Amino acid sequence: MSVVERSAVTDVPADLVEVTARRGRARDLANIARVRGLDLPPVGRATFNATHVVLSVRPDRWFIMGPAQPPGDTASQWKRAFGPLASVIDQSSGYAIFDLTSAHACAALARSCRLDLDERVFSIGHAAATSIAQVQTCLVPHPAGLLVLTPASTSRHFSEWFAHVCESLDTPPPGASSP
Amino acid sequence: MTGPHRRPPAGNSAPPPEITFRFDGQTLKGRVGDTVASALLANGVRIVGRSFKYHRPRGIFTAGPEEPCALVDIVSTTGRQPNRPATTIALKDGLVVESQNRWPSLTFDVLAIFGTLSRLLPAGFYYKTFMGPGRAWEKLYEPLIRRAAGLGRLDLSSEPKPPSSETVHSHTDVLIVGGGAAGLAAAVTLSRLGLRILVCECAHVLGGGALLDARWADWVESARTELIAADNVRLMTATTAVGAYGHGVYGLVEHLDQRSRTASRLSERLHVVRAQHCVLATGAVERLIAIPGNDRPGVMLAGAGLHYLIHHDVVVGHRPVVFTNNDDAYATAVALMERGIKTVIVDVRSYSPAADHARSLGLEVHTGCRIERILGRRGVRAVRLRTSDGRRRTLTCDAVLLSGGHTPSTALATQADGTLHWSDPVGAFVPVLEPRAGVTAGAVRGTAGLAGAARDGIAAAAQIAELIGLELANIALSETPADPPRGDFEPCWEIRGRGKAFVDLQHDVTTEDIRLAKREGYEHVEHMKRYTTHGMATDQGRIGGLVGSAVLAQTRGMDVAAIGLPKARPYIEPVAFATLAGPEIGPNFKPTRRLPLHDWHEAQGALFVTTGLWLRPLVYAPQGSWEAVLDEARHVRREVGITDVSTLGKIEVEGSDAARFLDQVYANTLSTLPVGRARYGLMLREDGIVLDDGTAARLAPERFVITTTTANSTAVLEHLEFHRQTLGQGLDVALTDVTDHWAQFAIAGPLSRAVLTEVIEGISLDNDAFAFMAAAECRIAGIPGRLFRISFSGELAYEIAVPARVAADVWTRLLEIGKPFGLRPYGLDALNTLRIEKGHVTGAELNGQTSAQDLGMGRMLKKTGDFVGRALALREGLGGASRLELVGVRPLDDDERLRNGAQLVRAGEESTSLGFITSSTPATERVGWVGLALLTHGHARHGETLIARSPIHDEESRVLITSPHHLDPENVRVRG
Repeated sequence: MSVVERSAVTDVPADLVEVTARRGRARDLANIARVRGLDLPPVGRATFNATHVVLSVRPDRWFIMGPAQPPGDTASQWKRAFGPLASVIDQSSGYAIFDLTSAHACAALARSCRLDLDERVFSIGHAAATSIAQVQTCLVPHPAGLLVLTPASTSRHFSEWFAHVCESLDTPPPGASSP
Repeated sequence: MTGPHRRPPAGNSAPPPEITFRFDGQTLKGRVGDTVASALLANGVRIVGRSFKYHRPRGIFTAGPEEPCALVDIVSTTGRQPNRPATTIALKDGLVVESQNRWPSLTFDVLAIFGTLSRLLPAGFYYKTFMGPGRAWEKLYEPLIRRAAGLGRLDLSSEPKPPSSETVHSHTDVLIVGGGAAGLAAAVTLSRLGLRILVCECAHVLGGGALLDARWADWVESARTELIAADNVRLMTATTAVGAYGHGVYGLVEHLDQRSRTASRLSERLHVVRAQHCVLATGAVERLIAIPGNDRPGVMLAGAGLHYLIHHDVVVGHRPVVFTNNDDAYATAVALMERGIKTVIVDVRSYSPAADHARSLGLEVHTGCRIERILGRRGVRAVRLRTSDGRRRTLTCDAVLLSGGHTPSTALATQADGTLHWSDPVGAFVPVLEPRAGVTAGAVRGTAGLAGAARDGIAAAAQIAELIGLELANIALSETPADPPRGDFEPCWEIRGRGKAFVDLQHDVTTEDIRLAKREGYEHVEHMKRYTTHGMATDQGRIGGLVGSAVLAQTRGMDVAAIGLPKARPYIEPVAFATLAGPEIGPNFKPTRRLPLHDWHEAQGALFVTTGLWLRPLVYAPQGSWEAVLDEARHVRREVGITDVSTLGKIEVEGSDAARFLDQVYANTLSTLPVGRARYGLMLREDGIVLDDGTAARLAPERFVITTTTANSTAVLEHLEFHRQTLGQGLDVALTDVTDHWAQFAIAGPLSRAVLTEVIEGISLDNDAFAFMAAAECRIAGIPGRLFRISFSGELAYEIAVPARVAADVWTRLLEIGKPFGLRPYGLDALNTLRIEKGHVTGAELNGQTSAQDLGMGRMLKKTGDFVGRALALREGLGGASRLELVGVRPLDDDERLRNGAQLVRAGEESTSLGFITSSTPATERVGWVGLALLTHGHARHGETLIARSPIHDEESRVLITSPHHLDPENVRVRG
């Protein structure tokens, strides 16, 4: 198995908008989103539908991830939808989105991630913000792996770090030394 | 056979393969599975090192990480590792081992003279000597002390080394520290509940003390097999828990074996474990007895003697004497006898069942006796015995196996907030802690015997199950062998007599040193520790710590229970800095932020510089030179240039209260800013000092985008978020960091308008239509973006922002369109040159000490309305003639250059600094250098001549103090 296969990092071509509810309007916002087929989750959770992932790691604030469109179009659509109820900011270029599908992904992330990524604790439907390899990340588990959002300027640092760690996983996983 | 002290393996099994190693240049044989210590003992090597202070010959004292004497250097092609306990280093073929702290050789060490002079060198002697003459300290005393001090030598090679360790974060329901009988019993029991279990054991194999008793082999194997088969259990051998940090966080260091390190080349792994619950089955460490001569090569703990015999078929002596005050040491004597070694037992107790049993096996046992002194200089040759009837007798021997009882390993428990309580039956302190902080099991809580420990483990598991709310079922483990009947322990801390009796073998602390500490007034155990350094060596005094407390107690006429033990802090055993640093060293010490156009800049031969975490193109010339920088800067002044300013912090501020919020956090007013306009903004810290500057543009009535300096972007965002959540409570305002989303380019120079006209859609760039400080959202080369008419260079200039994802397309298009106009990229150095000439400030001037008044921006502070920093900006200390104020500076002689950091002084008063140069550059439109400086009462000194002194460069030049605006002070160009 090559390093690339083992690390199994895919750069996800998606648009991303950051939505912040105007003061006291979170419930109205959720209603509008629901009409459009999205559930705005509480903090620390993520929801999925066929085309979108919505996650929240701060109160009354969500990332909406959807199919890539020409620059600015996705944000404009959500701005129109939410109107004065929310601040809608295009972050499609602000974050890199990686899909980690390797069986080694959690073992590799454990080299820097302080969160408990065990599926019994951090299962599908959860989301979290944390620091990995000293850079800011958001983590979203999904059925085939783990989505990682990291600021675009640190994305190369993160992906290089991840590839390097996966390479070192030729060693037995932690704790597998023969007792 | 691999040495005269090696016996054939028990049970007729085949001996492991032979390997060779070198010790102090001598080639010796060992066996696979040996430690360096066992191999040296097998070869009959008695002296393996010299003591820290007196340079006394020392041998091997223990069989584990608590080893105080046998510290060695491991030499390899990758360097030298000093101070490694020989008892923990796995022997491998070709290993090169060197002894420490001796010159010229281990057998003849010149500094052994310190032993003869020891009466002059008691504990704390250095507090009373080397007092004068004053200059002698630096010239004589310190160099000599440094030369004599220390044990091993660090490898001072400056060659960069790859990381030797990594950090892994782990989570578990229950952490079990210790893989002996108690830990294994707890692990098996809890694993059956389906909990996530992590067991760490410092040895390479599970079993602990049970491995020394053949009757326990099946039980250990059964437990081990069950745990290996369970997928909810992680077994980590060769892993030491080195610290407990509260809230269930523990530090574990895993020592990787040869097999594990082949690919990664790592030697250690630091695990940060977060555990919901913890079982501390850390066991107990055998302790010494303070007898004169107890440091001689050949003196060893009784349990260590048993370890070497059982695990390595090594007999530590051919005529050993066991000296004990408890039953456990008898096992060593019996085992040695079974291997044909006649052993004499000296027991301070008048009776014990173990003595009767030993006698029945034919062993010579002296009960009610004590060893008064151990004789021999380079190794044990005899002991002086005092029998129960008071007679003295000399017993010839070649090894003394001491056992003063067992001290529970309480360090982790106390770090986890446990307290220590004295136990008479154990003769030691045992920990008591809240079950939620941890549950103790086995020898650490004073439980005697392996069967008792296993029962303890099950009880600990039950306690944890109850805490979690689970019911234990099916807890029957395989039956344990019964513990033999035990006699009482009898305290025996010290036997006073002629000669040095050590309580800390590594730091050469004797019982007399402890009595001296008390006489000097250092009566508290913590003070005694620091005065004598007892327990401060790498072994942390584990085998003699309690003995030191007992001697102090006796000296003070108190019970040892009232004296206590010094606080044990992490780390429990030495941890290399490299292990703590992990892979975050060298270029990986910090992450690197790259520009969206990083690859383009690199392909153009840019020389990069780190600004904060960012890599920025400094100049488009790989070697870098002032000529290249000036070429770029002059091109901007004369024609047009483009530079990547994407690193600027960018924050969207949106909401119906956005303008109100900005008025609170900026020192100048922003609420009056019309839509489509930008304004320079100044932000103060709460203490009135300037935090940052930048621009704020109003893109819509309720939407602003503000910029920050590159270095301060995170700090400003935190500052704003803090004030939004405190001062701004109740305001409808949201802050969003969009630094990475927008790539931003400055196009500057007289031809900048002509270039941009070609790519900007829907906006006229005429001076009237899009005046200086205008801002708009528009399409740029077909991409939705933002346009600002702002200038950092002092030229007619614009900044455009486009989504970073399409930055390369827009940049390339601009260069194509700008080609006929001479559009060229310029780097950070040229940008710096341009701004210095213009008198704009950056980090060198916004240095965390300057106020708005200092920078000549006092008039920007709004006269009415509150803002962050207002109150303290008006304090007396931030005004007056003593303040360093921003000025311009240039040499009177055009051939002389300026130096950043040069001190400004008056002629004849060179020792009184009036200020310093903050930034400097060769000028673009005149000959010579220009600079900015912070100068006392600077605003009133324009026209004055001072001296700029740079002692580092040994340079001095006469400079003229000017306005900071060296170029276009009327701002004509930016409005052109």
